Amino acid sequence: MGNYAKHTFDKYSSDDIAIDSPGTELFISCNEAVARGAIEAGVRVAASYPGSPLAYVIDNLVAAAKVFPEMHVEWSSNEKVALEVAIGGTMCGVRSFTPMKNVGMNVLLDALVSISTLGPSGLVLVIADDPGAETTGNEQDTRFLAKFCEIPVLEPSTMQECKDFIVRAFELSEEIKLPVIVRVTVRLGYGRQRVVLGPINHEARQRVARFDRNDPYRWSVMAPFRYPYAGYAKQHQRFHEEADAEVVAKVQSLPTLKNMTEKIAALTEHKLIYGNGNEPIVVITAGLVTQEVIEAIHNLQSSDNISIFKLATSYPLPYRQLMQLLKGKKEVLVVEEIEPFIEEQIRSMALDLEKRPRIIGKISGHLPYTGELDRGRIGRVLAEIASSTYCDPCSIKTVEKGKDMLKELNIVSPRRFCAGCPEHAALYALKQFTQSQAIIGCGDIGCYEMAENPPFRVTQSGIWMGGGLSIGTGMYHAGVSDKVLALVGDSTFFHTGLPALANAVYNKANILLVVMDNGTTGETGHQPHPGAFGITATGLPTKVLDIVDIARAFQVDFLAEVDPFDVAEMTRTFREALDTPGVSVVVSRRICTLVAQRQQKNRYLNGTPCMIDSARCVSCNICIDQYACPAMKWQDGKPTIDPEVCVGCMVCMQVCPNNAIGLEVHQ
Amino acid sequence: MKDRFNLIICGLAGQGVAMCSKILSTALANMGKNVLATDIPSVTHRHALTIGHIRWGQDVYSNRISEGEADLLLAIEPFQGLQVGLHYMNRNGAVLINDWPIETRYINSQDNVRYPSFQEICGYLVKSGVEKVYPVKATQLALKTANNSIAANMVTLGIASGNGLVPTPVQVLRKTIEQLSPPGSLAGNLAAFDAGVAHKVR
Repeated sequence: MGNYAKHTFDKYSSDDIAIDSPGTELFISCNEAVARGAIEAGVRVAASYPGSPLAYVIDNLVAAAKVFPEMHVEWSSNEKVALEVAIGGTMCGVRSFTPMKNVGMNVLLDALVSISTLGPSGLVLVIADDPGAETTGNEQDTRFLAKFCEIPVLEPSTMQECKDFIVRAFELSEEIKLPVIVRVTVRLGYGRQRVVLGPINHEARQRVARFDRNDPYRWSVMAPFRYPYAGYAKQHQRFHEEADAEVVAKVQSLPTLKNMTEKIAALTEHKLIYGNGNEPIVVITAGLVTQEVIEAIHNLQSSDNISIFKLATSYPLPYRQLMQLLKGKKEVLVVEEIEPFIEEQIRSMALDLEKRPRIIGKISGHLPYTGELDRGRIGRVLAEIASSTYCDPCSIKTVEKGKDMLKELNIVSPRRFCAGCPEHAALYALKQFTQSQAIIGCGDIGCYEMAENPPFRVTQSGIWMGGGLSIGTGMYHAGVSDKVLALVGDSTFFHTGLPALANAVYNKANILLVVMDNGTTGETGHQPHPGAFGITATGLPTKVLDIVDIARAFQVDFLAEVDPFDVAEMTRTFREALDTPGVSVVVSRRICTLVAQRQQKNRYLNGTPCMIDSARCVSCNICIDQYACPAMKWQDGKPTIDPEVCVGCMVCMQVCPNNAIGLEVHQ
Repeated sequence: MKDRFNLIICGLAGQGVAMCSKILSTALANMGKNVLATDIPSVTHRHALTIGHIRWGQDVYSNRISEGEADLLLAIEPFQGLQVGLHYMNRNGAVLINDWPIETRYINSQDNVRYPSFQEICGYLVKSGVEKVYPVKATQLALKTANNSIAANMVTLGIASGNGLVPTPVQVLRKTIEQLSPPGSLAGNLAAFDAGVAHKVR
C-alpha cells in the first residue's frame, strides 16, 4: 500500500527530485519545484493536509525522505495541526515547512498569528491562492493574512522562482525570526516548467534537534511580564520598537518590524525587468501575472515609454526603492491577481510624494478584482495609457462566435459523481427521504458537495471544511420544524468534524449525521488519513481509527455502519436513524471506486459492466432520471449503459423495478 | 512574426489527458524548446473535463493560453473538444478530434437536450472559424492495437507527431513515452503511439 495513490500523483511527482547534482535541469511541476525548494533548504519537518493545487508536494518529499531518512514527512489531520507540527520543529531549531491551499490558511490562523511575534526561525508556509476559484470554494487573497500576522509574503513568478524563493524564504525566516509565506497561484500550481537545481543544504537538515527547557518564557505569550501589561503586548511593543529598555533586555531575541522591512528591502529579487526605470510609465507587478505583463508588452506596437518593476514580496514592500521609482512618473499601473493588495500600499506610499503619479489598477476600475488576469486585458490597458496599439494574437471574431455557439448549445452541466461512486449510491437512498419528508440538508466539503445537484437535491449548503454538522446543530436549536441532516466525509471528519460531533452530542441536538466514508481523502488524490489505509505518508504501517468506534465513544443516540451498495439496507437504516431522536450517525462505508479499481487491477468491480435487457426494459426511466448514473445514456427513447463508463457496481440492478439490468455475460 | 505556438489537449478525466500533456511538454523540453505548460485538472472526478495547456517558442512567457489563442487542439473526447475549441481556438488553428463520444453530461428523459452527433460537432467547429478539423478514430485504433481505450491519448500523440502537426520528431516523443509511462502500460502505449504515427490525416 506504499503507493496508495501512485497513478494519481505521478503526474505531479518524480523520483529524481532528491538528486544531489546542482546545475541539473529538470522539466518539473510546481509540486515538484516546491518540494525541491524545501529539499534544497534542508527541511527536516514537513507536514500538510492535502489541498489542491499543492496536494502532491508531500508525495515528492516522501521520495526525498527515502534518501534522507532524518526527514519527517507527514499528512496531518488538518492545516492547523500541520503548522503546529512544523512549529514544534522550529522550536527545536530545525527547518520546518507546511504547504497548503488558500483556505487552509484560515484553519491555521490562530496558531500563525500567535506564533509570529514570538520569533520562530526557519518556518516557511507555502500557500496556493486560487484566482477564478478553480479548485477552491472561494477567491480569498491570502496576502492580507500575511499583513494581519505581520509576516512577509514572497511571490514567485516562474517555476524556477517557486523553488528558489523557498530556499530564500528559509534564509529570511532565520534572519528575521519570523514565519515566511510563499504564495503561488493556481495556474503556476498546476504548471510545468524547466528548473535548474541548486545545492542541497545537508547541514541544515542534519542539525541536532534541541529545545531549551531553561527558559520557560521563551515561547509563552503570558510571561515574562505581569500587571499591568500582558506579555503579548510587550512582545508586540518589541516588534514595533516601542518597548522600554527593561523589556528590550528581556526580549532581545524577538523579531522587529524594522529588521523585517530592511531585510526584505535588500532582496535582490526585486528588480526592474523591462526598460531602465526612467520611462514615464511603470508597471509594478508580482507573481505569475508578471509573465502575463511581459507578454502583453511584447504584443504592444511600441513600448519604449514603459518599464516593468517586479516585486519579490507583496508585503512588506521595498519602500525606498519604490519611492525612487515612483518619483517623476506620469502613470503607474499595478498588476496583481485578486485584491488590490500591492496597489493600496503603492497608493498610500504615493501620498509621501510631492507630485503624485496617476495610479491605475483595480481601484481605478481598469482591471478586475476577480479571476485570472490575462495578457489581453493587461495589454489593452497598457495600450490606452501608453498611446500604443495592442496587437492581440487572439482572433476576437472566433471567440465571439464561439461564445454564441456555446450559449446556443446550452451545454452547461452540473458536476457529477464518478460512475460507481459509493457516495452516489448513498445519496440515492437518502434522496428517497428528502423527497418525501421535510428535511434540511447541510453539506460539507468533499465529493459529496454534489449532493446539491440533480438528481439528488439532498443538501442546500456546503461551504467550508467541517461546517455542516454544526450549522445543522444551530438550525435545530434555532427551532426549525424540519428534520436536519448533515453530511461529512471521512477525511473531513478527522479534519474538523470531531469537535462538531462532540458539540452536537453535548448540546443535545436532534440531527442525522451521514459520514460518507470512502476510506481516503478522495477529491485531492487519495491521500491517507487517520482512518484510511493504515499507513503514514511515508508508507509506515499505522493504526486505523475507526469512525464507528469514535462515534460510539461520543455516545451518539443511534449508530450504524452500512454498505451504500446495498440500497435496501441503506434505506432501512436511514429510516431508523431518522426516527431516532437525538444525534444519529450513519457511516456509509465503501472504498472510493477509483481506489477499488486500482486495488483490483480491473476497471469493472465485478468483472464486467452492467447492461440493460431491452426486452425487459419498460422505459420507466427510474435508472436514468432518479438514479442518474453517469454511465446511463439516452438512446432512441430508451436508457442504455455505456460500458466505457460503467464500472459494474451493480447498484442500478437494485434500482430497476423490472429486473431489466444485469451484469454483461461473456459468451 | 512572433515565435510562439499554443497547444491544448482536452478530454475527460481518466482518458490520460494530463499524462499526454506531461509527455508532450517533456518531449518539447528535451528538444531544447522554451516550453511552458499547465493543466486545468478536474480534481479527481472521473469523466470531468480536463485540459492541458502547452506553449513553446522564444516569445512565450506565461504558461496559460488565453481564449482565442490556441493554434492546435488535440481533443480526445469530441464533446469536450467542441466546448474547449469554441473557447480557445484561433481562427487559423487546427483541431484533431477523436470520434469516440463519452456522454457523461447530466440528462434525463424529460429534457429536450441531446448530445450533438460527431458530424455536428465537427460542423460547429468549422462554422466557428477553425481552419482545419481532422476527425480521427483514436479510440478505435487504441482498442485495436493496445486493447485499451485509454491508449487513445497515445494514438492522438502519434497522429499529431506522424503528421507533422507538432514539431517533436517521432523518435523523441517515443523515447519520452518510454521514460514516463508507468511500467504496466508501456507496451500498450508504444503500440498505440506507433499506430497513430502510421495513420495519415488530411
